Amino acid sequence: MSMLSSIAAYLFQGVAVIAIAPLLLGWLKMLKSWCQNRSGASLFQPYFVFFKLFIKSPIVAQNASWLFRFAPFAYAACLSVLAFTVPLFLYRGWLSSYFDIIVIVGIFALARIIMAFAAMDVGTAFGSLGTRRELFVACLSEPVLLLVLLNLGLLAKGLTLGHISLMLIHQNALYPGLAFSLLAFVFVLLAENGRFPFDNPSTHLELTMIHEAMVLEYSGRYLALIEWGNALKLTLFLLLFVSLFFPYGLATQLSWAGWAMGLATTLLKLFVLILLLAFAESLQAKIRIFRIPDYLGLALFLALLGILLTQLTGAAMS
Amino acid sequence: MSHWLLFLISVMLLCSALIVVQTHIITVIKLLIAQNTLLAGYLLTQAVRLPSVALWVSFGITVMVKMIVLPWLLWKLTRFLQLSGRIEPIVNKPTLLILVTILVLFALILGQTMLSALPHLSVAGFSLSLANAFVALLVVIVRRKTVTQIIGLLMLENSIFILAAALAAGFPWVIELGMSFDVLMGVMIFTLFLMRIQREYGSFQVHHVEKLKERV
Repeated sequence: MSMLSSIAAYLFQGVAVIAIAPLLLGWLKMLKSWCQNRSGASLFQPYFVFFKLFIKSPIVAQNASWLFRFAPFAYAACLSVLAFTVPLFLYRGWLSSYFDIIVIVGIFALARIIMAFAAMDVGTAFGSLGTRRELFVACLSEPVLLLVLLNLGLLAKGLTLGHISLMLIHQNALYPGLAFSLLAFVFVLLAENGRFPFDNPSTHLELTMIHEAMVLEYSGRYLALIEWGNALKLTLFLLLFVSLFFPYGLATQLSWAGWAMGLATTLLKLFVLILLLAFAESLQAKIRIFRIPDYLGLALFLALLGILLTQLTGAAMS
Repeated sequence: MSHWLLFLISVMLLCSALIVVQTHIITVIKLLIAQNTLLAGYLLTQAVRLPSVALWVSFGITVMVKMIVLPWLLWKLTRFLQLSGRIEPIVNKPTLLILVTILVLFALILGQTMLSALPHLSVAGFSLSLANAFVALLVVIVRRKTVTQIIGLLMLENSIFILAAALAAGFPWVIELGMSFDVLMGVMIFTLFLMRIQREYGSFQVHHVEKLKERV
């Protein structure tokens, strides 16, 4: 297949990741309402909500600066760039060879910092409260994410997602350190996306909200971009999970059959992951904010043990 | 000894590490069941790969004793002793986490000294099982309540089992049978003891039992 069609495939993959993000959110919400014995909204409800928000005129606080208006675009742009680095049906994204894992974590951090600035910009109490909490969680979860990615990078002897996925697909072995990294990554996934034991994504209750408090001042198309960004962030983390731990089935060659196979397996994996996420969320209660360090400390320790195991039993696996 | 066994051992070590930091007794018992299920899973794969009566018997015993009878006994015991609340370890969580890391590191480094004598995979399996045994000992040491000490003992038994599986093909099944019943008997005696202690003292924090020590 020609160079042009491969570039088209990579581009299509990135755009598809951005496009299916709200669908996954819809599926998650549907499952959660089933778990609560309610009949859920349509799978496409998030798209309708985004459309509604896009056509509404936004109301901006009087003392908001350009930063407040600019931040949602920058946030969505950061996460959209990352959508081109994760796999969906090909084993790597278009930009995967330029963006190693440290850059990926850095862009996640950049997106968060932009939102933090924007939340503090208006000067309401909620904005700064949410920012403080968000950065509190972030400073605990980011090192864990880096350590987990580093563990996989050490195994693959290459620091890009493409290397990692390719190594796992070809080696087809179970590494002892991976179980630890996997659990640590699950903790990070929940913490970074403000999912259940850490934050309740559907509440606007003053005492508990973290992420929602930051974006309380936004409305209209700005809010739509932020919400889309959040859905995309969840999708990115799930696809990172697929690429780091279960990349089997992704296409490594350019062929239609491989692409179809890759797409089918990834969609199946996302389906199952969201199912597990919905169950895990429904079975858990939100923890107090001061117990978050306990959980993320445990995650840090697991990530560290994962690296130790990889390094000290590594000779056995090769 | 295969990659699959090594992975199972590492997941068992993960369960042990989680048991150390858990504060709720019910969660600890659930994690113990998970660990025993992994052990049974290993026996099942071995029995399917090399079919023999001994392995199937061993699998049956593991499922019956470790996955059903022992957790049920422990659960009954916690019910009887009204232990639904939290169990506080003697040292705080971060210290425990660091201790576990040090123990695992120690076991892995200890394993490295055997690299010349054994194949790499066996050494890795050996050091991970040894780490599991160390963590089990830590559970016995740092918990105040006696029920968790029984759980530590059971974890220790599991790690001895996988240690044997990692280094050789496992124990002969007569010994395995003996070990399982030993553990079962041990837990039953423990249970009787705990019930007596509960009746006598109305609580069974370890420090009450320490009064029984002879002072010299």
